[in-house]
Parts: sequence; C-alpha cells; structure tokens
Amino acid sequence: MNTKQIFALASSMLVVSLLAHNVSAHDRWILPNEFNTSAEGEKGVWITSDVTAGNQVFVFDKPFGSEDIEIITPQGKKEYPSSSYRGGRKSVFDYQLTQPGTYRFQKEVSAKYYSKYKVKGSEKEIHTRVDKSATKTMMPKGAYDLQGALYISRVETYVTLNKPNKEAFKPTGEYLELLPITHPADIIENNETEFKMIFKGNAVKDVEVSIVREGTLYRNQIEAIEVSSNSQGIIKFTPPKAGRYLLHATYEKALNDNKLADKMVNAIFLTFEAGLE
Amino acid sequence: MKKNTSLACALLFCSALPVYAESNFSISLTLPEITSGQYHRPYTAVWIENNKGKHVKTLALWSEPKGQKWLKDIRRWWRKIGRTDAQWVDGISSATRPAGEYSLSWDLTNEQHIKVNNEDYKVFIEVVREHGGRNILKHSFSLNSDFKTTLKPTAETGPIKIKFNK
Repeated sequence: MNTKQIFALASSMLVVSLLAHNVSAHDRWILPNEFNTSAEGEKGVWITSDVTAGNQVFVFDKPFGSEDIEIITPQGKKEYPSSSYRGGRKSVFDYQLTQPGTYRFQKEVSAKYYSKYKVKGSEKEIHTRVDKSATKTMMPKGAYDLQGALYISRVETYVTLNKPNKEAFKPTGEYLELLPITHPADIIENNETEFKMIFKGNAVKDVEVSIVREGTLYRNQIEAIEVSSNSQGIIKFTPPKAGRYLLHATYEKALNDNKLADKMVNAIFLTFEAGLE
Repeated sequence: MKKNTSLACALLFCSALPVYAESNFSISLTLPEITSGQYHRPYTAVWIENNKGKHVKTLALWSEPKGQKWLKDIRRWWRKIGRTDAQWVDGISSATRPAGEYSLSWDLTNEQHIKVNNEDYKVFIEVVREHGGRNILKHSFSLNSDFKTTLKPTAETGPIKIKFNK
C-alpha cells in the first residue's frame, strides 16, 4: 500500500465514521413551508424547504445536500430547485409551483455500500464506505468480522397546488418505495391513512414503519405510531392530531451469495401533514 | 270579500312560487362583533355534504376577490370541493361580510342544479379569520322530516338557525 492509498483509506474512514453515524442514527427529511397551497391562474406559489438530518423530529441538526434534490411535477417530469443554500445546520432549496397538481420533492436516490470490520486487540468497529470486496483488499492483516451492507434511502415529501393529482406517485420499480393510497393532500387528523409499500414494484410485507408527530423536543414521550406492512404491502394508521409528521420506513433483506454485501437496508423518510378535520 | 282577496293573493303567490322558488331550507348565520385583537372580516363557507362526506352544494363562499391564496385556509371546504375547480370558485365567491346576520337558503339541488333525493345530509359552516380563529360547525339532518335547530355560538360564529319545512 503506497502513501497515497493509505491516505485515501484513512480519509475515507474518517468521512465514513461521520457519515455512517448520519445514516444509522439520524432521521432525515425535506420539510416544505407548506404542503397544500392555493393560488389563482399562473401566478404560482414559491415553496421553500429545509433539508436536514436530526434526532428530534423537525429540529434541524445537520445539513445534507439540497443540490441534488429532484422535483417530480404533476406531469411526471423531473425538475430541479431554482436555488439552494447549504448552511451549518441545514440546507434549503426553493422551487416555484406553477402548474396545479401534486409535486414530489425527493433526494436523489443512491445505493451506497458500507462495510465494517474489527482488528485484533480492539473491540471498535472500523467502517468503510466501500463494498465488502473492496474493503477486503484494504483491510490490514488479521482483521476479522468483515460485514458489508448496501444502503438505499429515499427522502421525500409531497406538495400540492390547488387540485391534487397522482402522476408524481409513479413508482420506479427500484428498491423500496412508498405508494400513497390516501393522497397526501387528504391526510386528516383522526382519519385512517393508507399507504402501500412496494419492493421492486411488488407489494412487500414486514416493512417496519414508524410515524412521529413533530415536536418531540417538547414532550416526554416520542408517541411514535409503529406499524408494519401486511402481505398486500399495506400500512394503515390514524394521525391523532393535525400537524406535521415524519414517517420512517425500513426494510432489510439478506443478500445471499453476494460478494459486495451481506444485506441490503432500505429506508424511506416521508414528511407529510395531517390536516384539521 | 277579505277572504277572497287573501285567496286571490295566495293563488297569485302560488303561481309565482315556481319562478321565485322560495326555499324551504333556510339558514340564518350571525357573524359576531369581535373587538379584541386585529380584526379582519372572516372567510366563510357554507355548504351541504351527503352523509358519506361527498360535496353536494356550496351555499355561500365569502372571501376576498383576489384571495385564492387564502382559500386553503377554509380547510375542509377547500379539501372537499374548493381545490377542484378554480374557475367555478371564481364564479361563486363573493366579498367577505362584516359582523351581522345573514340569510342563506338551499334550493335542495346539487351543483348541477338537479334536485337531490330525500336522504340524510349535513350542513357545514366554516369560518376562518386572518389573525383570528377558525370554527367549523355541522348539523346532520334528513330531508324526510321538518326540523328547526339553533347551533350554539362559538368564538367566530354567533347563533346559527337552521330551518326546514317540507
């Protein structure tokens, strides 16, 4: 291993230890200033959104890039923010809704490999941001307990101008996806909400979903609603109060005979609003 | 002779009835005087839904002429019907009203002007004030029988009298 390689490895480890922390411990979200808007004609409505990771629902803590935010328009076209900003604790992007209908704001989906191993004499795990086989070539002699995982996460929200539509729901058929059955513009307090979880385009059961109302910093209990998808991929829950919610879905799947990773971990973070009755 | 006159009047009135279809379903809505805090005239919607929550007819929509931006704040009305057709909303909306008593009526038709069936319905009154509060009131009724009721005042509404004579 030459100096350059060592440096690359060391710096990748450093970054990863921060990043892995983000991936595992922090919730992430896109939080628009409004979810449901009204405006006449072609006037349009500006939406500004926070893009952050944090441990308390909607208390921003760490920024994560808003440059690669994608906007799926009510016609199903992909657009990008008109401007974005990255601050010390959050990122922000702006986008103007000009067509009536429902938009999906999403963080670009990327599949990333992470691996970890231990070295003799230390219980501490060493993380890398590369797949298992690449990690293997970089590991010091005597390293053991090598494990690799493929992480795929979606961070998304829906914003509607005037009459809602469903074009932006269209799944890609890749990894885990959330398909709204109850339209996000029709999620109402004390009314049942229904979503469908699909994996590679098909209904998937046992996706674990946690739904938390904003404001955890100001209450003693998280009051999470915990549900998991049934064999039709369906989850149902009833938001107890009007307000903003963060949904976190996770689905793990073992990857057999895969040299790059032992498992695949899918996560979805969906921000939504439950309206007043 | 007096009898005859009244009979004639009644006949005259009857013959005029289909033309000036005086509704048998009436609502008297009072917007109260509010003196505390900043006062803006409230955004108000009054409408009928069937017993499955489907919109039947908007009886009143009082908002600012250029106020589409705020229509979403009449939350239930906006969700149930307002957001579906901007042009239609433009056509039915009228200016916000000051405090006072207002008479509204329902001609027992839906938005397509077709007479509705004698079933169960709900009337909704949603009043929202900028820098103020929001109240939504509802009353379930059947068109199969006469009724008369008064909804109690709330922060944003005075007494609301609803009456139906078959």
